[in-house]
Amino acid sequence: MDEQTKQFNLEIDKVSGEAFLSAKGGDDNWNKVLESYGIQPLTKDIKDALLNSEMKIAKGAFPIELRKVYEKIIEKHSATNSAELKNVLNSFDMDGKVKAYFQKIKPFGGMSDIFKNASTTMTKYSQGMQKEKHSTMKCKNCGAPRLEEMQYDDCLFCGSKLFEPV
Amino acid sequence: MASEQLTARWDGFLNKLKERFNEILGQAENPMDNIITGLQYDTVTIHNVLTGLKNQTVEQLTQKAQDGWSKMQMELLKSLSVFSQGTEYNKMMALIEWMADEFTRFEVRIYAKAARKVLENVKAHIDEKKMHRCTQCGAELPIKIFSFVAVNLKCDSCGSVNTYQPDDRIRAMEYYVINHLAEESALEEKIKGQKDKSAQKEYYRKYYGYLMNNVPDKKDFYNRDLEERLNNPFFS
Repeated sequence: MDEQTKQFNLEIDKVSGEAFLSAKGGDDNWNKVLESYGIQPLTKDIKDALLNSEMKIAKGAFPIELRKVYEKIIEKHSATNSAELKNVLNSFDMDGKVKAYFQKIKPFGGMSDIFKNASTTMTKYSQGMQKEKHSTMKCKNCGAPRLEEMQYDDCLFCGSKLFEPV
Repeated sequence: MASEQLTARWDGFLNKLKERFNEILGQAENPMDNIITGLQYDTVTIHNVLTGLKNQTVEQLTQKAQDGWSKMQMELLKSLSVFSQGTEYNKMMALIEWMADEFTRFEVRIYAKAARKVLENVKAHIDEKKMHRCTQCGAELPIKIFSFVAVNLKCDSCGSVNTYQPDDRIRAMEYYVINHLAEESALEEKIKGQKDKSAQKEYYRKYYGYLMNNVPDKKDFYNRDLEERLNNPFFS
């Protein structure tokens, strides 16, 4: 790996680490990082709206702010003359990177979902169960009961078919 | 980084994974009890919950340990501590094995608890004292309520053949109750059997032994299954 590519990777790792270590929704240190790249932090209203949205976070800066920093870093390095770095920049998976960051900062809430989902099907498979049945196979012609356990052919009394052919 | 520091960091990382594993299963106990209390005649819900919990514990934490190992291996190479790779790798493998075994214990214990609840519900639903009489002459028939297959019984008095189909709740017990209790009776053999073929045979003997004792109607069927597992080279 050439020096320029190494520097790019280090810078990406550094800002990702700073975003992760920031307080929930960002803090002064994170704001300094944003400032160093000329990015305005989200306004308080937007931050409040995001914190109350369905996309919960347990810690760290908002993914959207980190994405903006990544974009600035890519822009900064785009004038490079290194073919290797150009290749890295072209194949940089922005969505994947931001998603991976979100996976790290989201709260652990899977367990409540597991039990919530389970409770909806709690008795589903116990419905429609049939009670015991007790009967005697009788000849449809004369009404004589079946007399042998292995009697699957004709009625022993009148000779009619005891079972209908399938 | 010095190799002692690396080892300490690696041990700390693996300990955190172990703590997380215990924490998740510990937190699952109460909601799991609530689910068991609400069960009727099947344990499908328990299966769904355990699948989710296994993913969050054994599968995700194993993945984390393996991801961590890739980084640790790089660090060991950098610090020229390549010879300790085996020791550190074995620590991770021991943790992965431990999580799999502990989850099996948890799973079998929960299923057995659920099975006892289902059994209680079935017993409350079934009238065990009900008299079964021949449909033709009214003579008493020796029908076993807790049977798992339909049976044809010849009346001793008039000779008519009576067909008896057990209640679906009782038939379902073969899987939802007895199977889980059989697993519980052979739990340690099951865990040992995952690594040792002769212990696996002991597991089959104990598991099928329990089924044969408790489902006498299907003793021959289970015995055939047991023999297959003991003697077929595919299983041994």
